[in-house]
Amino acid sequence: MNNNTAARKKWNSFKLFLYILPFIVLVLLFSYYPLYGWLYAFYDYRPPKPFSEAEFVGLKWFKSLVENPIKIAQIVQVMKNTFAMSGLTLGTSWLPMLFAVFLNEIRSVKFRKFIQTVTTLPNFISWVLVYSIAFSLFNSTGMMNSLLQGIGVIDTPILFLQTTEHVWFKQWLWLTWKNLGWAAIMYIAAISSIDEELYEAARVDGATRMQIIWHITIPSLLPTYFVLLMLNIANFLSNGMEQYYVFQNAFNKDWIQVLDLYVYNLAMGSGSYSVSVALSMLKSVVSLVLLLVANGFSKLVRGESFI
Amino acid sequence: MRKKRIMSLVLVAAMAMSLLAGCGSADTAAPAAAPADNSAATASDSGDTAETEVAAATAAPAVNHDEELTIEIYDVAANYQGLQAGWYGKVLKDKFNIVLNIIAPQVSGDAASLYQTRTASGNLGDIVILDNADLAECADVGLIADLSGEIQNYPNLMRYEEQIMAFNKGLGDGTHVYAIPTEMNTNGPTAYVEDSVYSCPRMAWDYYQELGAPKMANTDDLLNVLKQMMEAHPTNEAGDKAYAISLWPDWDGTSIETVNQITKWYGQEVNGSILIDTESNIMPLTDKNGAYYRMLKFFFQANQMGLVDPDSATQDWTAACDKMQNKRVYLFWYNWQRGFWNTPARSAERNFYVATPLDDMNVFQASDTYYGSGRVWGVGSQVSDENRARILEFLDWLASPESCMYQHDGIEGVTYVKNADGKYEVTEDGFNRFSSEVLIPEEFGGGNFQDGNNQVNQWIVAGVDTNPETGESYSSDYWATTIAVNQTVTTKEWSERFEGAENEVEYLKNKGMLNPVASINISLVNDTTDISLIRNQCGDIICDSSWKMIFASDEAQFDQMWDDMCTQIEGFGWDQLVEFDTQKYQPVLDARKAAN
Repeated sequence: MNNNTAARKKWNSFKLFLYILPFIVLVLLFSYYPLYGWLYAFYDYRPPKPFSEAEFVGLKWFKSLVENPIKIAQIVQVMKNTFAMSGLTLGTSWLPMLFAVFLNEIRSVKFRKFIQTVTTLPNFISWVLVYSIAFSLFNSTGMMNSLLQGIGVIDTPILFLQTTEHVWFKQWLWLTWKNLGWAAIMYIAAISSIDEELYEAARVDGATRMQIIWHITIPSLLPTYFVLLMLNIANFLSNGMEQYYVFQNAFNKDWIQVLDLYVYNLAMGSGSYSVSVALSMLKSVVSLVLLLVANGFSKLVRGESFI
Repeated sequence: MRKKRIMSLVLVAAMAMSLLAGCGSADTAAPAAAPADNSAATASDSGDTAETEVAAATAAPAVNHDEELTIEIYDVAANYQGLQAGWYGKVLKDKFNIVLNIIAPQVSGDAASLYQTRTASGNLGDIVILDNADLAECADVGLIADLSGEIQNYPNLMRYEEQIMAFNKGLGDGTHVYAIPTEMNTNGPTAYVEDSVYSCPRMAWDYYQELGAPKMANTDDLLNVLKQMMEAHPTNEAGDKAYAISLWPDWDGTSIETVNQITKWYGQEVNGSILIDTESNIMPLTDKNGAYYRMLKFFFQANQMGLVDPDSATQDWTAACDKMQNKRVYLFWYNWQRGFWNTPARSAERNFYVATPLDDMNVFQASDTYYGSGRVWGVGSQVSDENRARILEFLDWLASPESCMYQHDGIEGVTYVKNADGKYEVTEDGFNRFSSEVLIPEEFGGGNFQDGNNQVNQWIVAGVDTNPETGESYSSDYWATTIAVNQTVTTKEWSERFEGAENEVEYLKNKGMLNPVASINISLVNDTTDISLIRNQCGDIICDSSWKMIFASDEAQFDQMWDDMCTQIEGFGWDQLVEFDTQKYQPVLDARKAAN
């Protein structure tokens, strides 16, 4: 009898284990199995020769990344770009929240829906298309130059896409144009869950619209904001590459080349997979450090950590 | 309840299974590589048996065409990706029941990664067209089939036996036949029968004549002529803004391709990180006395004078083509660029791009590509024996006179016809086939000529080769009938202006400005990982800096940028790269010296 219950208990826990098995397999497959690829960083791998014939070179590629001041300067510039553009995005991450708040204040439902749709749509346009729009607007015979020349502001066309100035800011503008509406969705959902009684009480007390926003809506949104902020910090180094890839050209490359793009340009251009793996390993390490720092900071400030 | 439990268990199991199945597909990649190993093994065996096979073989194996065969062709020359359609597709379908599926690395957007992923998977293509060095690399790892013992069965290919064998001698241990060179001819190793050089300043005769067809001593004179031309004609006839010079960045490698091409005006050819001159001397690309610096400065000066299309650095090849086809660009250099505009009708109106050599030029030109042009055809080692026979039959046909006429001249009865004297002559449609939309009759497959043209864009036999059936070249440019048609007011006046020379080659030779170097086609060493990394990083810096230099605001900035570029690439190992390339091209120079 006892044996029987024990066996059943065992069977039950095994069953429970089976429930989570697919997810364990998933994590192993997609998060741990790829780490096997780190091996490439220590070999001289070059297609079409198979990996099994590649020569072991130890830390050669790591060393070669930083072997002289000019190479270091390039990596530093790449890191600067990455931090600057991620920093800009993080620093302005309150924009979607504000946008959601104001959107919510629009009384006419039809107009509100219209604005929301129009601002969300760009999120679904691929970066390649965004660039082709940008090219047709801003090339030497594009709409912008034709317009400016037409009204006599300029004589010779301005080469908007070739300037080296304000690259970070301009890229941030494109990104914001594309993402603002989409990022606001989370906040719009959060606003709808704010207790209506709070608003009613405030109105009875004679609060103005701005006061209601300032003292009720925004404080209620802050927890959502912080969660999203934390998630973004973990992605600090992975600020994507499609956008920068399509917008890069000889003139802005010094300022637009972020870490992911650099890894791509390095590997795909020259077949230097080993070097690229080495570089992206470094990226993982830096990401981990950033996450730990953010975690420590959170512990210090809010008294709770998220790992 | 019980049922539900069982159900949920089944579901969980199914999910786990499906995940594992996902892994499984990754595993299948391994067997794909296996045949490559096998073939490498058989390849080394066949070296011994080759001779007996040759003796036994009398004819190509009989081939069954009942089933349609789709041949995947990995083609570094193609500008089109997908199935070969149109009239040429119909020829192949009717003749061999084959369909060509063209994989075009140039179109894919990222040629290098396509090449690497496909080679890593063990199947590059059924037919491959590769640069020499890449083929050597692929043959080395067993991706390419050894054709020794088989190729002798194909009479059309055997007309080029000397050239094919000469090239394959340099591959591996020299006993296999992996590759068939491109653009071969039978005219002899040092002949140069073309009537134009690859790179030379070219402009429209009417505009040049308007300015009095002035003598141009050097590039400064050229710039002045172009400036006057742009002032006289700020737009094309449709009113679109025109520029003297329009460039495109798509083809850039270690340095800007358009600059590389005009270094040939002054006797130097860019080969990676080095410049090789007509006397077989070598200097680094970054030498300030070299032609790269000089021609980069030429573009910079042109831009200072407002002659360069401001979109040059950001537009793509297609956009540039569109401008050239609409006479929005006044300076050409490639000889094939003329095809964007020139037709006999325009020649009669003087509205025709012609060579306008500068007096101080010393043109770098290799002789006709007797031994091949630097690329090769190969057959994938994974192809089954049966399909290989069909592919070889097709390749043999490509080297046949019938096929060469299709490749170089289009369709008999549409783009060219046999006249009363039994000579071939190009039709009106034939002349216009590249410059406007020529419709093909339904019986030949319909559509327009260019869409249906041979999209492989690479030939085994060059247009300058002699057609044994007519005694004339395959390329219609040198047919007696074409030369007669092309005797227009433009060619007549051009000839008068250029001291009675019949064509630019004759003029340049008379003036001592052209001394073709022997064309050499051998497989050169491939980059190691280190060199390839250096080449890529230095190349990025050189191209980026070069573009910035063309658009620099003044000469001081131009020189500053050049110096910065040099210091920067030095840090990335430039000297090593120059050293590597110097050794890499030594065999070419040796062969050239031996040929002269």
